[in-house]
Amino acid sequence: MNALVPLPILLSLATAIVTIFLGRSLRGKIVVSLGGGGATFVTALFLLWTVWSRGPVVHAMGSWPPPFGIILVADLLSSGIVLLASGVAMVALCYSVGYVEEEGQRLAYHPLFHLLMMGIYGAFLTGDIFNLFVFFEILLISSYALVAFAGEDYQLEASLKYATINLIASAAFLLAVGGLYGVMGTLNMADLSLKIRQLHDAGPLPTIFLLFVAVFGVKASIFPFYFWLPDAHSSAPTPISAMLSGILIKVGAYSILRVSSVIFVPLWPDVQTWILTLAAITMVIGACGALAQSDVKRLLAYSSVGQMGYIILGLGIGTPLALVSTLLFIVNHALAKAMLFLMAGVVIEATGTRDMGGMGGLARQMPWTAGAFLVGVMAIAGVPPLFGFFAKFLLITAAIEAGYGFLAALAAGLAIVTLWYLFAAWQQIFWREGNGHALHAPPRLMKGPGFVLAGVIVVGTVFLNPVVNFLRNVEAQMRQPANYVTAVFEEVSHRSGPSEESK
Amino acid sequence: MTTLLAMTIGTLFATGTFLVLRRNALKVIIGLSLISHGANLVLVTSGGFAGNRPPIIGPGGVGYVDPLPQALVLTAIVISFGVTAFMVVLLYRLYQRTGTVDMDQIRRLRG
Repeated sequence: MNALVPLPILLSLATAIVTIFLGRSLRGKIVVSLGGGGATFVTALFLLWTVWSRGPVVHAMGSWPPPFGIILVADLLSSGIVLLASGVAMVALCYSVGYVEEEGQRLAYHPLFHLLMMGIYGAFLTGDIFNLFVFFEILLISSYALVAFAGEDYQLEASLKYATINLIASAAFLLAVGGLYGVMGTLNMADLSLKIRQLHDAGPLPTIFLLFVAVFGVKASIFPFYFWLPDAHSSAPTPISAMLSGILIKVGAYSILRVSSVIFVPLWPDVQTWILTLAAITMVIGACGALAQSDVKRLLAYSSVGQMGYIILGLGIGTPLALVSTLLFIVNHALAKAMLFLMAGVVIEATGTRDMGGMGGLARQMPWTAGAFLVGVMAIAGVPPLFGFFAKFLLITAAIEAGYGFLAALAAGLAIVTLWYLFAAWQQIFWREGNGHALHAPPRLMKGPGFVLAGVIVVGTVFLNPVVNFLRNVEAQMRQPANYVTAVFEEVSHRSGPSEESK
Repeated sequence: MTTLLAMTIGTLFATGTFLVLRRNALKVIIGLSLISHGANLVLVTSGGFAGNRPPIIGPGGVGYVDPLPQALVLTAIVISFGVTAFMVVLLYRLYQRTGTVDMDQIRRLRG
């Protein structure tokens, strides 16, 4: 059963390799690429189901027992987010088939996409800090290439900026890893969790923890490390924008969640104020930045910055309710923002401009697109029937309960700003008097995937109770890092026990 | 030994930071690789690097250093080499299209 854990990573790698060697056969590449994506999605479903029924599953790479070898750990949090990532990736892949020009697909698009996914799954599943660094680099270098994929000047510049900031972050990551190893003598997350508990004097560990938060903050685009995001996310090809904004920035939030809930538990009070402050500033910057945009993709990118502020805020408050709201935000933002980017891509394809001033009145010609876009807008802005509302409601309740009245007021105030700029954007694109330009009909494959995501959001809202119950379970498991540690070290006893073959 | 390493690391980071703040994007890339080297050196030092001791257990099991950081650094060097190579290609492409490597001018061309 354990072999299930590395399977999403291996499937993505295998798909990437096969698509490289298919040469210039377009049809073959598309079939293999979609097949690989679909297989990964099914594997992720199966993995989540296994973890749900049996508790955390651990796989020791190369059969080296922890803490010496690299281990992969699937608990509810990691397998849940792998499923989310593989679902969004599948949708983005279908969209890519219609969107990316044929020549690009014949060349390197599909291999790069699957390498990106391999890095993402790896970062979610790994139980080793240095391995996390390696998977980060895999997903980053694929995303640099994908941002610059079409080779326009602005894409190359955005990719260069993105690579520069992330290369500095990687150096900082190595510093943090070096410091951590110097102090603790191990890099296995479960082992670190045990050893930090026994430590009497924290020494330089709070600084190292803060360095990790900063490094992951660059990926999660929290203030002051957000400035690369609006360029990179708006310049990338549309399906890649959806992946970057939907899933990739969540890798940063997930990593902060992981290191703070498993490793640095006793040190949490030292950095909480920092995280809360940065989250508050991020929310303000994202909302204000989005207000000033006229380019639809830049607006969505700035909105991602603001939403990451909410996600990090819930994480910073750290009460069970706040963490459930953070998880709900992650699900909501991954689905809704990916869908908004895909729909924005459809609109840009139809009108030939990214400037919202040049659009208008599209609701008459593309009523379904307008409707789906509205669902996304309502989900992100948190309009009551959709579950974005419940995420915000839980977060504000949690903030008041924990005694952060000011942050609750700020979150509520900025929710109104979010509502304002998103509805203003929708109104500008779809509602007001059109300028009567002829529209190009976008390929059908570009419209379908967005509707799938819109459908998932609506269905998720209908079944809100099971979703929230599931997230409560995820949170309860996160709160007990002992489970994680036991699962990892039980792996050792299982391997030495006689029952290994039957397992 | 520790003092010497600390000074080397400090110099690498200082030079790298200075270069990253230049307008010439090629110098930025060189600065980035200097910073990565500094970080790699920190990682080696964290394993108790002593200069003349091997990272394998010798006869009698004495006089060795922790091999793990050196293995990590190998990985990190390969990764930073790959990323640097990619960035050089990216910059060259940008230079072909815009005729400049000055980041301010590139931004201005974008409008």
